[in-house]
Amino acid sequence: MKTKEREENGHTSDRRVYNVFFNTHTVSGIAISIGLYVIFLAGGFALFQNNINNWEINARAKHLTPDLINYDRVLNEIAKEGHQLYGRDINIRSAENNGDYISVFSPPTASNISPDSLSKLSQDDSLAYAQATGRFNYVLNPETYGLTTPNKANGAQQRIGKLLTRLHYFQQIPVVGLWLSGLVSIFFLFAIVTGVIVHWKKIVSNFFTFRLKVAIKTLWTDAHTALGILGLPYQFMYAVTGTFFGLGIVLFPVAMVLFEDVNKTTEVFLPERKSYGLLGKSDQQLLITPLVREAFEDIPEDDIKNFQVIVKSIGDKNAHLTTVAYTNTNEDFSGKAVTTFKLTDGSLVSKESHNESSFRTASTEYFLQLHFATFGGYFLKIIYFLLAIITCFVIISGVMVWLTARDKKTYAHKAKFNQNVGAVYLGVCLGLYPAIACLFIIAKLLPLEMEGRFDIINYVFFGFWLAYTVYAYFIKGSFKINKHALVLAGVLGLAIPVTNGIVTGLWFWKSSGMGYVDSFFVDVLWLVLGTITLMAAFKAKPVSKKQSVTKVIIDKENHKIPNVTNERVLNMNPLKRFSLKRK
Amino acid sequence: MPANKKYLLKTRWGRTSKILAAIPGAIMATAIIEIVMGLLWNTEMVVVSMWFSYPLIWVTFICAVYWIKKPWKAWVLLLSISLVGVIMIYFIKYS
Repeated sequence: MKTKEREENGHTSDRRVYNVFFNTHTVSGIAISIGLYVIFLAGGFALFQNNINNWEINARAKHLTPDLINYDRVLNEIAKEGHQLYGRDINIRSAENNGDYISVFSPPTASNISPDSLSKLSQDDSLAYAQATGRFNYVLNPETYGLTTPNKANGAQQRIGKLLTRLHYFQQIPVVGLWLSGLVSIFFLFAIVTGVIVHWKKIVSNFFTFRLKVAIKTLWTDAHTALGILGLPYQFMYAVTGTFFGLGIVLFPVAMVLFEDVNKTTEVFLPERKSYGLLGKSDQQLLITPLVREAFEDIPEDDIKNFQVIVKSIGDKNAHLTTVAYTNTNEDFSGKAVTTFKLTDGSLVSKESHNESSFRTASTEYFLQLHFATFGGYFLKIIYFLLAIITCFVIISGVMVWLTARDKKTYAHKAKFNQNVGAVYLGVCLGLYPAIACLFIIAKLLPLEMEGRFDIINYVFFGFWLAYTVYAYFIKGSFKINKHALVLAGVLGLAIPVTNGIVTGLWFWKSSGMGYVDSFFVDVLWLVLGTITLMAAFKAKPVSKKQSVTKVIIDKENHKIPNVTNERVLNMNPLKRFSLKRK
Repeated sequence: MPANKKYLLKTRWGRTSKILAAIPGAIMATAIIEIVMGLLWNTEMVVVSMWFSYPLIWVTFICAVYWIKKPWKAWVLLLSISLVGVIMIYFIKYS
């Protein structure tokens, strides 16, 4: 047996490398599998987070153009709330696909004010100043100019779309959640590279090999390799971009050594964050609204997806205005336009057109565009969603390969442990899908004004998920766990549009005509998902374990499949070769 | 299916050492390479391209760590790259 193996695999060091990468692929894959599955499934839904948020609160999708807002009035409303405005940087931004609110945010000013200008203030003044200089964050209605803080029920933060987005980067785990998602991402990249190395020689034949009706393990290995290769560019892109989003903190020390200044570092990545510092109070200050109009005048209104207006060092001699527009254009993939004016005399300081971006803007914006799928409308997002589901399947099938390979006599001493681990893995992974469906239903059933609404939603969602995992642990058997999850998700998924129709009267056949595009979209999405899920659930049949790999080869020969000789089948898949030898 | 055990590291400290080399060790070496590139070429451009260069260099190091047989040799690679980098940073920046 050993000699044969040596012949097949060639040189000893090659065999070592193959086995080492095979092992690291398995170990790193198993270690990150649950996290990665959650990232891709929650992330798939998070692509539609604005639609889901609008669906939840029955908002009509409105397109907010920058011309509709009076920015000077926004600043006045903020001042009325008792905030000290002098010297602040205030950020006014719209949310994509959501015309119901704009958010107004300001960091604390203390770092902006030089010690000189502070020491000139009297004792009482500086006390009042200290109270009024903290950070603030408001949600403003662009029609009534009424302010609310975003943590209230009608604000921007507590919505189920946001909950799924946060789950996507494990924000629910305190402190380390985000870093954990970054680590999962870098090891995902590692698993992709090692996977390609391991399958390199068979990569073409694997791509065309998908034997659905043969032994269960070849089904899992075929699914794992064929779909893994199919989704490779997509997964590679997400592994690289995801690492940065999660572990952006590791770039910071490098930039700090190179620039020796925190502000400069932020400014390189996001030029609009540049702060200008204070030179002393100024008597004359131009109105902001006309300048914003001027900044946006050369961009067609419909092309603007969302925008930001940032006022720097308000009321100071060094006051500046920066406007940012994120656009959809065919000329430039990044589509980001940044314009800066000096507020004392209205002179143009810098301008970057939406048709032509610098390398600096592009390298950041391309990443955001690719990661958030914001460059191709609904069609692209649906493709991304499908690829995310495929990736989930690649992860699950990888775990199934691992489990099935251990479901034999050589592993009898560990059988119980492996069975338990498998049940928990599948319970967590497959339980998430019905839990998401349940999240949508509970969000519709609880009235929006209810006190503590979101706490209940959180408990129900995570409770459901945990309950399914425990249930899976007790029923064991991957077929049952899978089937029950699919049936649950299918039934709950189909119940979502019905619940929405009964509770709000926005049935999906009339919501689109009434202008509730997001309500229509999410209902139809669940209708399709629920139907497919139920069909899959009732079509699935347990595959008998008796079908061994040897039998497959004999079957193939009996059926006279052309060009498949025994030897070629042996060479087809390294995974299979190993298990064959054990017989 | 599982990989042939005779090619894998048998000692626990060996495996731990490789994991440490793959995460903190590789982060250190990558960061130093990025700093050297930032000092040699256009600093801003190097910093903004860290979006993709950082994960790619990092994952190359992880592969190298597992490709090299002995853990101590992997550490020698990472530490020698870091040392050369630090010396270069010292001479470019402070002389």
